[in-house]
Amino acid sequence: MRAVRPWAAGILLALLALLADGRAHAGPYAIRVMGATSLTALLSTEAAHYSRGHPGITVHVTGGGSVAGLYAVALGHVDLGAADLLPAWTRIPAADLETVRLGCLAVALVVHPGVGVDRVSAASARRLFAGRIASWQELGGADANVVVVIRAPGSGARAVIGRTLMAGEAYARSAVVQLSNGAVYRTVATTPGAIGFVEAGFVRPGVRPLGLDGRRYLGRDWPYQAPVGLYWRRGAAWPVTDFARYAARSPLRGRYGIRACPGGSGTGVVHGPENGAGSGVGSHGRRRVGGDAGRLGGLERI
Amino acid sequence: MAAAVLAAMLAALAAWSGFDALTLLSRFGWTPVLLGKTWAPESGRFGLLPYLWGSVVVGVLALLVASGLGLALALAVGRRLAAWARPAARGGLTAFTAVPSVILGWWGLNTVVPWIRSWTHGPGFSLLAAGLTVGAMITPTLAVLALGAIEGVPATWEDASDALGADPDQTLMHLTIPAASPGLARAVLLATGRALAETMAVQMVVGSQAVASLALDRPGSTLTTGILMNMAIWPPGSPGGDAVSLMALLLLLGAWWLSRQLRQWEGGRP
Repeated sequence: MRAVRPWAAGILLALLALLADGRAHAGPYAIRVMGATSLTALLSTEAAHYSRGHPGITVHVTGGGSVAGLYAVALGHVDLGAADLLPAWTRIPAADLETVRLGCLAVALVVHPGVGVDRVSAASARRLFAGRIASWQELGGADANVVVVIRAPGSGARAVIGRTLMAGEAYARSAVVQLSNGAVYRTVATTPGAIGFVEAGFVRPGVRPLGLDGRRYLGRDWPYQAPVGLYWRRGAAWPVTDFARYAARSPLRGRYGIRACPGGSGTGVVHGPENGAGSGVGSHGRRRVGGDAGRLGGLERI
Repeated sequence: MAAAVLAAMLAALAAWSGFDALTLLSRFGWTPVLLGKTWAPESGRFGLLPYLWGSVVVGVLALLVASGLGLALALAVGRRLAAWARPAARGGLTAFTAVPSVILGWWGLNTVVPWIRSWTHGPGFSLLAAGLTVGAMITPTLAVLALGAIEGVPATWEDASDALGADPDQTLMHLTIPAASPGLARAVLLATGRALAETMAVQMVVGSQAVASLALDRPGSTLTTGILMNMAIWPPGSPGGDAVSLMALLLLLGAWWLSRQLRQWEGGRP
């Protein structure tokens, strides 16, 4: 038998020493969150707070859109998907996803300040977005062509408006499609005659919110609400579900436009597959996603 | 070694895209996909004609803008500008080629779109806006390449033409430009390739509407913006994801066709 060279023996012993270390290596745990751009600011803020209170746990937040986030969590590419639409509204395989609700984001209709109209009926709004009204003069407004600005498919705001206001009718074929709330806001603010929709928080100076059938987007009776939630795969590690519940209790939600969801409104906006009790925001209740779609009932208190 | 790595990467990309593309085409049909006018993946309709049409229109418009401006710039710098000013002019053109496309997109968003909106009374976001913006973007590239072709014409040839009594314009039209034509063609083809591949600047001004329309002042889409808009929505393995792979494959095939045209042109020049 050949003698083992001294240097090789030394390396072998060092390796054995490392492997024999009995201490649990508590290395950093990274939680990956991806999804709706309307939530990245809130989640990034809470991620920093959470990490300060939980040394060794870091949270990485990226955008990409609700659908991208849900697909990513369903496929196991990220730990948490942030979405402002329900998986049941898409073809995402969501049977193994669980969720916690953060609340609802109002989807406001906004127009360029020069259109000369600040309230319309729901029927007129549908006709505007469908491209069946060519000029604001038809609604008693300015002599300006209607320019429709919408979000890309995969946007929660687009899904909410599409399922409720549009009732399945197609958007105008001449509509300008933008990738984000910010891009829609900018386009509407700088394009005479423009109408679009943005989530609450992007109704900023430069655009005017449109009233609908006497209701305003900040009112409790505003019918177009995007259900905001965090989704994870069943059996996710403790830090993942803990952070999700932490974010769901965040006192900062109101600052980012997330409010209680109206219940029983009949608008069909806050549909959702749910399983079990506790539909309240901050209720800590986890809800199983998948299965039959149901209706989210009752006001959720933030 | 480097060439082998690059070739392997391209081959892998083509193979991966090709497999997904064939999956989609065999499932939904070649004609309905490649010539279909309706892009509605949620309804199982994957017509790519709007994207193909948009890419062709934007490419042609960009080329029309860049060919005229770029050639004029190259001739002005190469043959009309004082010799002491040429190095600075050449440097300036080269610097312009390095401007990030997002900045030109920003310029297009703030200048081209409002200008189109002002006389069409439409949204301004359009295939026309994309063509003009990309045309401005590729003009410096085409001008630099064309300048190199023009400067490659031997000065002795032009001296001989002058000695035979030709005026500068006759020398330019009947000697310089024909002699530089292979290089000029190369410049045009390379600029075309850049135009077809541009994504960010196009997405900022085109309106991203998947519609094939002859109304160039209305929103449209190109293959590159189609990939950008759809890649985050449709995961790999889904029909939508396969359609995105098909768009990528079509762009690769377009690039291959352009390079083939370039080789043929260079091989057949007098």
